[in-house]
Amino acid sequence: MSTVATLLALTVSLVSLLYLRHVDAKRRRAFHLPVWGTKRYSTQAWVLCLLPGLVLLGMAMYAAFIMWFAAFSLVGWIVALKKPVA
Amino acid sequence: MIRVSKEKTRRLLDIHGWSGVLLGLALYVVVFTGAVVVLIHEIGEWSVSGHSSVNVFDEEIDTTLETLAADVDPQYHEDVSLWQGTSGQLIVFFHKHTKNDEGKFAEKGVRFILDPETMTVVNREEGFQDDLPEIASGFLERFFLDLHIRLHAPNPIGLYLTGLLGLILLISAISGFILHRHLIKDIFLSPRLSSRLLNTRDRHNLAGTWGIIFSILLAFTGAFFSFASTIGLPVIAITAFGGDQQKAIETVIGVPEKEDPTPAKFVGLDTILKQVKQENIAGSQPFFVVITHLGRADAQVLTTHDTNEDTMFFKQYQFSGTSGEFLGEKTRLGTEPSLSNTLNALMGVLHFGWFAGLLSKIIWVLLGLSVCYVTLTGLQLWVQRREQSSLWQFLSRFISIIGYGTPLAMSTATIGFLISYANYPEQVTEWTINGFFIGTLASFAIGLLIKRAQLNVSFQYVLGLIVLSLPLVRIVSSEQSLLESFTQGHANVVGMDLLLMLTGVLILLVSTGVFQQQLRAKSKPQKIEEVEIA
Repeated sequence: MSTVATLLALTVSLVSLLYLRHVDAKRRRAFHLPVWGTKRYSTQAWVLCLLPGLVLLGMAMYAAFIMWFAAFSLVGWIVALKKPVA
Repeated sequence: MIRVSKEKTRRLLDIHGWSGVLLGLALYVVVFTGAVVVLIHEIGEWSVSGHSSVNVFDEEIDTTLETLAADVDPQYHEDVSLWQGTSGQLIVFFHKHTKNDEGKFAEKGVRFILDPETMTVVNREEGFQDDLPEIASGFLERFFLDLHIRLHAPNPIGLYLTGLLGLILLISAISGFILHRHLIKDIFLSPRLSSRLLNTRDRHNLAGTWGIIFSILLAFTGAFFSFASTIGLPVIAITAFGGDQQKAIETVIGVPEKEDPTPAKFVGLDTILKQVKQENIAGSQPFFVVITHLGRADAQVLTTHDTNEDTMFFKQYQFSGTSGEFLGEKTRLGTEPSLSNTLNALMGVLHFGWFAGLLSKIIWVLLGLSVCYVTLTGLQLWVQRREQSSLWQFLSRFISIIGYGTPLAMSTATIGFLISYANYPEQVTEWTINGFFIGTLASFAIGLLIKRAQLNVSFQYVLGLIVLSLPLVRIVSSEQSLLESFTQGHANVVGMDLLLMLTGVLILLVSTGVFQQQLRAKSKPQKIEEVEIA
């Protein structure tokens, strides 16, 4: 059960992190991508990113929470590591 | 972002850099072996090509236990430990706690190794536990564990050393956090390719930023485990119990039951093992059982149970040894559930990652490897900033020697174990150690003799081939093919074989430079913004 819950939580966080990476201003500037023209929903995306952890805690799924928390740092790193396609 | 003055930044940079440079490679060895040790049970099972499918605690073992007890001096009935060894053998150790030649308390007694299927004794040894011959099947596990826990240095020096390295990691992580002025801004900044130095700095910062919380947690918990028994308890005893270490132990661990040496018949393990399997108690088989005061009125049985996918902590249950009555769950600290007991258990969870099945182990292996990556890129950054210094350029070879040499030496130690275990089991200790030294010497030879430009590729090539050879050596030496392991239900053996093959192929692919070529082809380095290097 905790494995499934962790993977689900990570999926939600991953989607949010991908959005955050896509709209990140410094990354776009450093790699000469066009400026993000429309509104950024960074705060909402960060909330959505961290929400699965709160849900797991709220449901007292502590093992899943710790796994999500640990894997979150790895997922975030891997997401950020990828370079924008030229 | 933490604002600090230029002077403080310079000092912090010195602390961050020099602590890493002086002890970074030793730290890398401890963290890398730690990442491997997360999978130590799987490695152990793989190294003996799968253990017996018989769970000894499913079998009736009372008759065997009675026969063994009659064969040993009754003074060794003080404590009886039972567990299943790496290859599935039942190990029974009758012992007492007494002072050794150095005046320190140690376990002395008789150790039996039994065949799990026939319950016949295959080995009997007597003496202090530390002096007993190694159990051949579990030696590779023991060798890797000792390498991580104390770098094979004698106790307590080894524990002090690894504890100190834990503190160095803690200092590096915290100083790195304060130093990195654009922590949030750079959190999605992919490593830029415009210069080697900038690329290394970005790689180091990015991995360090994302992994900072777990670096701190792993460092703190590691230092805790190294120092808790060697320094922590004596300090608590001195400060809170007026130097009375016995009183401190009783308060922390719990006061032992009142002794009653009256002879009494032992109720038998079979009854207790049936009870503990019930859902209202543990609902699982124990992996470790201890009988205290066998044959006395105050006899007790303590069973220890592994975690499963939904439980985080190891559990222990106590039973009366004369009536078989369930006495309740045993806490690790104190006698009742408490916050300190939970926090202590949480330390283990956060450090080892053994708490929720395979997924937690995979995550912890990757966390360990990410800390290794941060350590090595930090060292690379240091020497790249000193490109003009021939001394630093020479010393930079040691980053490759240790970086690649550690997995290389662990792999050759494994080859030494696999071959000797299959052919000369009594010599596994020598050949595992010899294998480790051969790998270490080969790493120094490659590191010091090969030209700088070809050094990493050479290491990758050799390491890739050796890792790829590990499943083949296992298959040939054990005469058990991958298919046979699969049909016999040895999932860990099959999984490890495939993992090693995949890792070997990946390392060989990296050595061809195909990934870097792809990366450069996809990027436009000439257009990337240059940013000043802090």
